[in-house]
Amino acid sequence: MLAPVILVLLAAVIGFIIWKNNGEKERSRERGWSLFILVIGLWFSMAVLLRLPVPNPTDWISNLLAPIYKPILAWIEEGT
Amino acid sequence: MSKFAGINNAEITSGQIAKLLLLFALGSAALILPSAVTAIAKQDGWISMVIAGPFNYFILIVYLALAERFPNLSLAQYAEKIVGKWGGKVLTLFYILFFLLLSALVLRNISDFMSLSVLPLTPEWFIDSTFMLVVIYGVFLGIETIARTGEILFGWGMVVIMVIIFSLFNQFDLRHFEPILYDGILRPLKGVYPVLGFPIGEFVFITAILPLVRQQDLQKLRKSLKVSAVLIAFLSVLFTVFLVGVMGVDETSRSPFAVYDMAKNINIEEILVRVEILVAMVWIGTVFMKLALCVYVLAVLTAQMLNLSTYRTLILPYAFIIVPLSLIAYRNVAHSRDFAMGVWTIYSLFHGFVLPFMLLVIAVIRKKKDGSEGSFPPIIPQQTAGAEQSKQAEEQPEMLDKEPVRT
Repeated sequence: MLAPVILVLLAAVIGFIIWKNNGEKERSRERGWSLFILVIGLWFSMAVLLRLPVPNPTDWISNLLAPIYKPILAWIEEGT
Repeated sequence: MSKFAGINNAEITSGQIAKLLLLFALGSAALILPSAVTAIAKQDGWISMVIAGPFNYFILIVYLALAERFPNLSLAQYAEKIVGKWGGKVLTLFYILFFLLLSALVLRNISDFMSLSVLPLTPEWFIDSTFMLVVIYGVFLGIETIARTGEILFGWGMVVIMVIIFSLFNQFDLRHFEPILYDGILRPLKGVYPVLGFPIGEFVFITAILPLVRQQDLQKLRKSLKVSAVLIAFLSVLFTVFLVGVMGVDETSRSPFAVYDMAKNINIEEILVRVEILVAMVWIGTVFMKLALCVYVLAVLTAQMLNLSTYRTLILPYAFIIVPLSLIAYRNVAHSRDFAMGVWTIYSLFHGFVLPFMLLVIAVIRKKKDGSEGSFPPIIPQQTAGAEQSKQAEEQPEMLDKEPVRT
């Protein structure tokens, strides 16, 4: 269970650096969006690390594009 | 390191962008692609590469046509001008997801290669994380640094490729190419399919970098990219010819990293042997360039879509997504090959050709052209800064005696 703790600590340090470097009011957009992406990244990393069920984008794309690429692959593999 | 290192208002030369394109094409594709093409076209794989050659430049013509209409804007910026603010943002989001996945897949390629060939006992997450650290630093320093690194790697890469090719002449067997076109031209035509998506469709990264080419070099840009496209086609043909000539069709189509395996065959009188590590070094360099460019474009497009003043704060948060994504993207090497050679071509061509071509057609129909400044972050004119300073000095003359505050 050491790896998740290290990961959270690392994310906290990076979050602190982002917060500190974008402390001015006019940089609040940069700070907000960076921390938002960091939180998504941390959630995703933890899910992978703890082997939770994580949606795989390659499977999404394969399913989405199946009507297009499968006939092409079938044609390519014909007679191979 | 300067606080402002890595801002996007940098300039690169047309030669540098041509070298970046070449390294991007060689990164990951050179080692993996020839075996996929050979698996389809067999000993006529080199003909597939010859047929695919012109497509390297055809796709660039679309990007150059867009760049002529919007010379100072990146894809995220002119998409908003062509299809409206929100339409442009949705389109940019498509590209962000594309480059996010591409970054993860490129990172996965390198960790697969390292764990299969060089570091079999090292966990993949460790390889990914350490590689990503270097990429983060490179992207943090900006496009000029990446371009200069590319110039160094280009020279070394060409030398190593030539050494490898010349060292393999004694193993070359022309009989491996027989019979030529045994199944007609259809089979080499089918072999073009994986090349279109990997790497040709991925060349769309260049749309985020084209506005950074310095003004004096714009005349030479088209010519430089043409030379680069020819060189990419030439090297692809050369690799495929030597792979089939040295290893034969069966071994080439089975090997996951064919060029690396081919270099293992180098043996000149038992003196020059085991030089495959040179291939590994060059390949790691080219993959570094490809990944750095992908992460750079990803961060820049995101920052431009969200109207941020810098892309640098986004790099580290994105690394937290890219590394775990690379670990789960492929279940195994077979899955990676199926996805990269089957699905990816369509997905990549959609982003690399269909969307930019649609943007170009809409821009032509709606007569959209914009030569406005697309600097990112916006440049504050020197005159204005000077005027503000003198205004301040007039208001508070005593301030002149004090040390200026550094920001």
